[in-house]
Amino acid sequence: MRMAQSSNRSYTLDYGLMSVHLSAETRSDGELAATYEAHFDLLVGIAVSRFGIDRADAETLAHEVFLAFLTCVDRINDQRAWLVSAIFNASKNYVRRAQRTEPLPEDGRDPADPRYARAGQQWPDVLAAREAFARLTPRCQLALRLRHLEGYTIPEIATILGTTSKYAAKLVGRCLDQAQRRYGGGGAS
Amino acid sequence: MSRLEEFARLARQLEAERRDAAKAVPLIVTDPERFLDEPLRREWLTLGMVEALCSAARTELVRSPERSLHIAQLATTIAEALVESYPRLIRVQVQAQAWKAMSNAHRLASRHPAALLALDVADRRIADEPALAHDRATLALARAITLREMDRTAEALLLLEGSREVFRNHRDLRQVAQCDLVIGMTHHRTGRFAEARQAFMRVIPVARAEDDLHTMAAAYNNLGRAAADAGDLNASVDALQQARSIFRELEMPTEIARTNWSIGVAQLSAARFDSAIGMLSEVRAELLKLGMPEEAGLAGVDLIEALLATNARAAARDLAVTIVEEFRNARLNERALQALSYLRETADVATAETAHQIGTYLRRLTNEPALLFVAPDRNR
Repeated sequence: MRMAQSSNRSYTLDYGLMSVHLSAETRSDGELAATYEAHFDLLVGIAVSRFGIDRADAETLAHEVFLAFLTCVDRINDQRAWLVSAIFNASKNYVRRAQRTEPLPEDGRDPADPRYARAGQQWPDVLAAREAFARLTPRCQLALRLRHLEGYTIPEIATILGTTSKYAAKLVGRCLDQAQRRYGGGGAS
Repeated sequence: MSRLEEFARLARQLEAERRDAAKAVPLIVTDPERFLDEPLRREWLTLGMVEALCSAARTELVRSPERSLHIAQLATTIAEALVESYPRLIRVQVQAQAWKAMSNAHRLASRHPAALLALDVADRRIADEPALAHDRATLALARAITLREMDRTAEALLLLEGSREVFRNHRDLRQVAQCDLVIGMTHHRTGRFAEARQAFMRVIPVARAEDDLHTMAAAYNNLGRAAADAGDLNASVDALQQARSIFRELEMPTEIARTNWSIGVAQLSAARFDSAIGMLSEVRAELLKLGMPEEAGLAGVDLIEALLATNARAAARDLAVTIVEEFRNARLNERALQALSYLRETADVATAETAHQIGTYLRRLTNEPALLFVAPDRNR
């Protein structure tokens, strides 16, 4: 049988997905604060009574649900349903994670993280490196982030940047040079 | 500061940042690539800016995936550079959104491995955040769309079911409708037309209730295609006409042309060759007028199929010659040119089935640019 997929397969769908954001109406911060006040105790109550989470952690979870809500509030139709569902999901997730963690013994020693043993001496270098990184172009920040923070290989970076491996290798090398120059106090490129 | 005060302060700050971003983004959108090679302006390092750029990347998707990619890359860099005065949860949330925007741009340009790699980063950003289940479902939906396009339909369906459940729990009906739309498209791709039609039918009332005309048109369009493939021509044309009238209302000429194309193909499937020839000729002219030579070429191959079915060989040959020229002038894929040249050379003896097989090959080529052309068996 003939498949009638005449036009490009994804355009109609993307119009659909795009439209999610077309009818946004902005809520004022006053309305948002009122929503927070009106629902905070309800969310905490659900986390405590339905999932046995202690109150302090439940309050943190409820607050985080509201933070998540803040960036997508304009796309939410039923705020109460969204918030209740979000706290259910968050609580389930929290409980699942709590079951996987093991408490430290009450009388055990709490050794310092060895990574911070020389924190005092390292801080100036860390800050200088951050500053140097922040002064790079967005293209360089992205390339170096993918290579050195996300751990991607050059071919993978090429894929993500939509370019060739040769160009990606050159870009990473050039950006690293640029960063080193700035780390050493060099000026703009 | 109490939590409520912190929340209210953030809400106020975000509102102000959105206002500032709305002024800055139009400048960036004119030439986003330039800004990738200039130092980031400090005043752009805001959450509102990331949101606005992600939104602009979405708008540019259909116009230019490359431009959309550059905007998304800028959004990602800003999101990753946000200062720690923003709560960690919000930072990782917008970082994930920016990586998703990058993934979408890659997907629209058919760079599926890149789209998946970008989604991997997005997933890692929010994997450990209990409060971001809805965001994880949104990423899963994006991954499902990509996997479906890669023909990894079983994985896509599994993700879609999970996402749909999360959206349903949040009463996010729009996203439920999006999941149903993709579920329908996935079933359609695997030839399960009845399931596909059921899924598309579920979308229509929700989209209508939400006054979401784009999604409604997409659902009707896909419903029409699935009905055509199921051999139900009347239902197909009805649904496609509904889609077309919505696209007219939305003033979307490319989608109107594509929908007319689907109607022409449905008529061709039902062996209504004269109607198909009329419709496909108009569609081809319209696509050329809209500056879409590749799609005009594909519509032309459908038209050649209809012409060959009515034994109009001279017209079929002339059209094949024209399409080859158009493809050559537009510097389109060499393999496509090879397949079209074959059609041109064999127009005197080819069957409608030959044209159909070449059309199928050309459509696959859109997703698999390295696919080799093998000449169809002329004696079959």
